[in-house]
Amino acid sequence: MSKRNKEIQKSKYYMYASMICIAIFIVLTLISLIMLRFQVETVNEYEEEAYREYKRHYALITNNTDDFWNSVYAGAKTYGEENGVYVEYFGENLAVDYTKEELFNIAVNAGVDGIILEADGKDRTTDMINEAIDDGMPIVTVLADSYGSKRQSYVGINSYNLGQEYGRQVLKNADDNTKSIIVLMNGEKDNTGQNIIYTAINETLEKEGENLRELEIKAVMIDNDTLFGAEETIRDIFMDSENLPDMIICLNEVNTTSTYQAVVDYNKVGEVTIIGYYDSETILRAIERDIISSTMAIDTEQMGELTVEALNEYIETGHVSDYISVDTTLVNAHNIKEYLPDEEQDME
Amino acid sequence: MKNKIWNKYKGYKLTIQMKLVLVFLLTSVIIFAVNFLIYMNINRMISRIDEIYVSNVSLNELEEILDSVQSNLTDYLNTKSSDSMEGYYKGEQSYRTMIEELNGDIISNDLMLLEKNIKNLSEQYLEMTSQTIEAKRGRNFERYNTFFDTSYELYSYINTYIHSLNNERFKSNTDNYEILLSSLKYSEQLNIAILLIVTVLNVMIIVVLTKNITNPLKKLAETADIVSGGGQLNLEVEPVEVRSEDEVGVVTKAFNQMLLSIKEYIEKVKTGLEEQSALKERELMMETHLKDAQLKYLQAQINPHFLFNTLNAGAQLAMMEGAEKTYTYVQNMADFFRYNVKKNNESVMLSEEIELVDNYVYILNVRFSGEIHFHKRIDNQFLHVHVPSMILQPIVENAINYAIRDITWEGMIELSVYEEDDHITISIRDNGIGMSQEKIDAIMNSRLKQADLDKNSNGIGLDNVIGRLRLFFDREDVLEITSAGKDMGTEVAIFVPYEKENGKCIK
Repeated sequence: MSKRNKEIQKSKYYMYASMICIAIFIVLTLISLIMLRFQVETVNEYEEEAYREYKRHYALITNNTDDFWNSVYAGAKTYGEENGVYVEYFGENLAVDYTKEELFNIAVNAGVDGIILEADGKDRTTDMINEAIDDGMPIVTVLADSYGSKRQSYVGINSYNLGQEYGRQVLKNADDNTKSIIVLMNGEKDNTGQNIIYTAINETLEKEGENLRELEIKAVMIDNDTLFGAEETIRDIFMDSENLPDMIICLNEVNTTSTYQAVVDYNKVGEVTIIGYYDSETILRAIERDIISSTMAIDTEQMGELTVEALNEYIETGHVSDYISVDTTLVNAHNIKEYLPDEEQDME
Repeated sequence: MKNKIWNKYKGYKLTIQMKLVLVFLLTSVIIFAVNFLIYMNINRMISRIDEIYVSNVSLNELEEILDSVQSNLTDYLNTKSSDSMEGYYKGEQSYRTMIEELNGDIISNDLMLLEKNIKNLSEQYLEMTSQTIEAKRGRNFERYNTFFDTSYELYSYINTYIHSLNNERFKSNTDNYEILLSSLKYSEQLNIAILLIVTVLNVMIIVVLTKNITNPLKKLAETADIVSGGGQLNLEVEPVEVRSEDEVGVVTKAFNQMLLSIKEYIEKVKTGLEEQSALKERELMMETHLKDAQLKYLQAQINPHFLFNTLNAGAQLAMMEGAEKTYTYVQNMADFFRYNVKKNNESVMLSEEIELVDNYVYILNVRFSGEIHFHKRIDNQFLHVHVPSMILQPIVENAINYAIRDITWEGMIELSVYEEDDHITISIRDNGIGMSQEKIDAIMNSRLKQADLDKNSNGIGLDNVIGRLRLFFDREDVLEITSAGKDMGTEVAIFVPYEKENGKCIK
């Protein structure tokens, strides 16, 4: 009797086992199919990402693309997104590298709602701006202004204050051995902002640097129009080791980085003092290592925000302040820690 | 309840063929379903891959139409031909339709934004081309020249934009393509894995299910093997359990039935054989005992014939000489031996047996000068009862030889014949040395060794007497030996079955 029971038990076990097998297989199949479906769906998601729609479309047009401008664009974009505006870094997605003028022309013809332009002192630029404004296109210049144009607003640094600050840094870093100082300027003749900075540096040195009359200050034009021209010009300065300057003042980010690299390459650390511009990570690290003595940090994101704000204000109210100033801060060995990114982030 | 459903689903009533078909169907359906799902999936993915570059194709079309608009415009300005005019309007129309489909909203997606710019630039461009054509019609050379320059500029911008968009699209499409391709590869591996698993599981299912089918058959085969038991038929097996009603179930039932029938038949044959052999055994025993007695008797017969004749002569001589006593003695001896010669193989009357005992005692009393006192108490009505020959004399001889030969008191033997219950009792009692119970048992069970027998006896032992009595009367209870103990004498009683009606003993 017990044997019979055993048999029944055994055959039941077989049944259960086969049922479990079938169940496992069904579950496995379903899971795999769901996973596969999921995988395919990612393509759809990739395509149909939820995009926001905006009420206005602004174009940001600059001479060149670097950390500085990327940071300005990031600030503008973030602020724009919060205020229903999409800011496009114009020409970035194009297969052809258009000049500033061409991009401006495209932007006007593409019917954007506003243009943020890194201008210059050229007459052609002024004409271009005026023509667009006559056609009803609002324009805000940023960092570099176009004097005499009808642009709605200028967002930038107070060049005179900047020049004064540079002058003070020169005096602070100068000692008895300091004789020649070079200011690296852009090759464009009509860059008014630069000229004001240069003038302000000179004035400051004359007024406040009574004890250092022997200082010889000289502007060196750097050819920014040709590709890689700036770097070559800076190298030329260092090649001429006889007349090596004691101090170099840089007025943009690229020049600062190039000079810093040249000082390191030519083994002139300690001999040449660099006063820089902008607070990219490379520059901050150089300050930390005492290769660059100080730099002017510009709140680039604020700059971006202010341009969008100015355009919005003009379009919505019909008028906007003619000049909007962006904060600048001096970064040197004393306050470098506040600007350096955390070590952990650095690791990344 | 559960069992009922169980049985129903197990299909105990299905034939083996149906069961196998079901197993095959089940596994086939599983494999088919899995394959179908896999096929559907792969198909879906392939069609998706096909769709990927559609957007690139449509952009290429857009570019072609833009080219035709521009070339027709240039052609018209050059030749003012109506063909180019027609081509321009056709191209413009289809270009307008195509750019209508482009995105015109401000959307935070680079590609969408490129589309928006293309759309706006194109509208501007078409505006400019129509102005150019108007100016051409008005033959305002300077105007249409300027407009054409602007148009061309815009045309090149749009071209760049379309190119860029195409490029970007291509990039993202390629990304998608790669994702799909990797999915395809992944699904390939997945499919193989699924197929493998399903195959393994299927095999397991088949094994489990067919086991249910073949197990009863296996059990039947095992039992059959045990039954055949290597040439030695072994029927001591439990009947095989029948749980299914398929062909195997039928065979199993028949097998069980067969087993049972064989067992019964063998049992019958066995009892028949036993009965027969018992019968035969009895016959053989009778014959053997008789033959034994005859042999012994023949041995003893050699002398009696000679002795009888010589003794007769001796008796005649004694009578002629007038020696009365000698005559009687010799006559007795002659009678004694004659009995032996005559009554050798038949039943005799009790009176004859008693006469023989008288002769024997007389001879012995002459020989031993009247030492034996022999008394008879006989109910004369039983003198004609038939008994086997040579049964009383050996008992008396035994009594004389063993019981009273060496005693110091006067030996006495008493022979009595009387009726008791439903039989006649012939009792031979002595007052000799008696007999122990062990010896009685030994005699009764024929376990006395030859050595124990006295050489002086005439050869027919008690066990022979008992054996013949048993065979003669066909019953066990024929003789009883009793003794009160040492020196207390012995009584041998023979029980002869007797029916009063005809006054004869039963045989």
